Amino acid sequence: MSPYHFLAYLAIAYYIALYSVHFALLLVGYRVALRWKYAGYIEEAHRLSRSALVPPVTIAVDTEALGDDAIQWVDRALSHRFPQLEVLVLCGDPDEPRVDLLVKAYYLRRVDRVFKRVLDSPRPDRVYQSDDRRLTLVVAEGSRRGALLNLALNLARYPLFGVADRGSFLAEDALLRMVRPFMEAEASAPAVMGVEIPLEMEGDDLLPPRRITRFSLMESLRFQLGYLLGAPFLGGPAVMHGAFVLYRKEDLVSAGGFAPSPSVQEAEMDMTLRLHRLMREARRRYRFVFLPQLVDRRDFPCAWREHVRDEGERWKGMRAAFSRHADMFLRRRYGWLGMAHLPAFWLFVHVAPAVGFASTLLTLLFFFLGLVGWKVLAFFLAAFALYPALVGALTVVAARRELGILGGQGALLYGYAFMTQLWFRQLSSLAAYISGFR
Amino acid sequence: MGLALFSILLALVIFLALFAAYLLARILKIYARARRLETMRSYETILYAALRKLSPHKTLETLIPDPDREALEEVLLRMGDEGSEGIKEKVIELYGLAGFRERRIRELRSRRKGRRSDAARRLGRIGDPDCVGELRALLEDSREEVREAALFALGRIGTRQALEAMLDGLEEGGRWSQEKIAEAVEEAGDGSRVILRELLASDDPRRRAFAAEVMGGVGGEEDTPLLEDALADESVDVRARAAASLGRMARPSSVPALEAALDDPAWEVRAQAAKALGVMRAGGSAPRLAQALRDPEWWVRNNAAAALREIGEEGEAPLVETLWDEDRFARETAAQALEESGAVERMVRGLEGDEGERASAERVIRRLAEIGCVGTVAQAFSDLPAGQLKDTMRRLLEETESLELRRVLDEHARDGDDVGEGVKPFGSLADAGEEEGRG
Repeated sequence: MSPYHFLAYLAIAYYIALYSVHFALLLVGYRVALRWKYAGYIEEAHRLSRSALVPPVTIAVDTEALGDDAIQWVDRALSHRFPQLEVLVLCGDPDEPRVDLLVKAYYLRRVDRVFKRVLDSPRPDRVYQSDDRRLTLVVAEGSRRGALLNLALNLARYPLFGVADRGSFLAEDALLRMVRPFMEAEASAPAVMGVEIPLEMEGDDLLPPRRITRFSLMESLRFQLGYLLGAPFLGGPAVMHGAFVLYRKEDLVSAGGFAPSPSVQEAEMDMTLRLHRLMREARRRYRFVFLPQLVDRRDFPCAWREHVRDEGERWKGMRAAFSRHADMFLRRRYGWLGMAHLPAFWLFVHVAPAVGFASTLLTLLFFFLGLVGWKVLAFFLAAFALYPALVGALTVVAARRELGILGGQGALLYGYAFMTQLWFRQLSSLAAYISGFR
Repeated sequence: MGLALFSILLALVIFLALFAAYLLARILKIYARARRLETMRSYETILYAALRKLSPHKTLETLIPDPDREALEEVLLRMGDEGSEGIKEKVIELYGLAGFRERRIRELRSRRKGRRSDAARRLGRIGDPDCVGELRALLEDSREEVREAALFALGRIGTRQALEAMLDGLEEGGRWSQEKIAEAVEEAGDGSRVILRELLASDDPRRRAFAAEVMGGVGGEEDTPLLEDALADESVDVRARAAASLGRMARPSSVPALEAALDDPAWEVRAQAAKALGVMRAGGSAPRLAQALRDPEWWVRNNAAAALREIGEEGEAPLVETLWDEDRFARETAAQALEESGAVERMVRGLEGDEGERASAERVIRRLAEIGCVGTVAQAFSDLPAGQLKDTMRRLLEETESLELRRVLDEHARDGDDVGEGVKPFGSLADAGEEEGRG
């Protein structure tokens, strides 16, 4: 076997391994979805709304994550059906126009809030509060997002702490479904999140109107249903971030709070590893929870540039989180996470775009120079594009069966799922990889 | 070349054949579902009419002799969900006569967890009290989702035996089991109170704590003394939950016991007692709550301040006096409570009032500035329209040494807005800083 053949077969093996992992996780996710279905999450949610035993929730959100209409966001959060919740709006820019807007709209009163400083955090410059104390607006000039989250943790009055990002709107009864894993005794739940879909989807059955949003949705569903859903049952996930994640305040404090990162996404990725470390070192039985149910709708990218920017930020966040916790790699102490998830994530996600670009380029070059035959090329293309496209189409099957969404556009939907994995993901992840390094 | 073309065409034909098969399967599925719905609708009509007049046995024998079993079971389950008075027992009997009960009980022992869990939920939806024994055994199942299904089913059955079975599982379960049991207890109504009283006298502190908590929701007048006694329980959890429940029940007779609980050695109990007094708006407890503002634990101070705020006018006087307390935490917590309750804004308006009211307002505003709690004062000043009140306020604030207030005054002076006659604009912030530095 020539070295050219060897390299081409190596690339084929890499892709078969990568997408077989995706495929296996998708199958695990499907089993997990059945488990949640048996647990009767949906039919019992409305009963919890009347319960006095449901732990109350604090929702923290940055002003920039409120979307275009801050008032609408706060209105919807405060009117969410849940026994007891408070909303903390955080702002690092004192000239942010939404501060005045909120103060006037909700008749917020400036108060000198006394709070227990359990974590290092910036000092609040101004704290505003509504009469019923359900809405608090905090201004802390020049603070980074992660540091603002720590300030919110200090100010939070309730035992559960939700972090909202990227203009997300909670779905009906989402909080009631999300608190239940915290109430169960089998394994401690350090964090809970659920399925998110674009705001632009008029109905759950139809695809969003813009093409890039459709591709982005398909890729997001693959990550959600094909990774986040199944990974917790295999000792993961290595990263958990979303538009709305619910944590237990006590765990966050014990983990040392959020890293003072420039973005919420990065802080959440880092927090996933901090929580794994905390639980593993305390030898607690735990499991991250991803509910196979619609939890929120958020802004999805509408243009190629936006998608690449988002992916680039994800890349940066992941790199920062992994480098902070590099000591967890290949350490038996951290179980499946240290021995399998983190190395696999590094190999199949972190360096995948570079490997993909190099392997495609080399295989095509070898073929055109006549160094490898058309059979090798065909195998490579099947492993590189056709296999993931098949996995993408299966994700849609899972979304339709598990979530009951996207039922209205049959063939078109599978077409998008197929095309997303055929070219969109490959190109966008390469572009994001490059932009992430900039 | 020919082979390649043939392969492509073959792949295309296979793809089209698969697609056609998929479409056919979908059409058949939709057709079957429509037929099932139609059948269910007719069964529902028959059963609702017949069960009121005929026995379940007669109904089954004469009106539905050869039923579509899946459709009939689904209709019976829906009727079980609705729990219509008068026919509930007949629905249970019919479920047994049709053989569904035996089948589902058999499935409770299935190897497949999904089947066990599904069978338990179905039996729960029907609410057959004779299944309690089998469901109780399922509470020890190794799979969490099956145990939960059993809890759900027992809760839906709701008889005393079912509740006792659920309570047996309390030791194992977490907050979720407690939630399910509490839900069942609340639905059981008055009959459940006897069980709660028994639990409150139990040797197991977890059971006592559970009873103390749930009693707050369903307990009556005669349960109050039991909860008051529970404030002396040896378990902190029981004492804290009893205090919270007394707050929910809001009987004035419990106030002395809750005031005494403010001296409890455990901060959790003190915090819950303070909160309960606030929920009850116990005006007479205001001085005692003001003392709790000096508590070493933050949660107690926070709850005491919140309680004084809830109490209203009677709570305001002790809060104002606490502004002069030696304890910094007590002062600041009291200031926060006054700000949150709107008392500070009222005092600002009081500067226009009679002499006594004005003097009192000036005293408090000055003190708030002295201790650095000026958030609401600064906002109130900024929001005031130009006029005599704003000028009075400006003069008052100029006397204080608060840097932040000076900044606010400075901004207003610089903007040149509404500086009243005879009032000189305040010195620059730099001057103020120098003064501070010199001081």
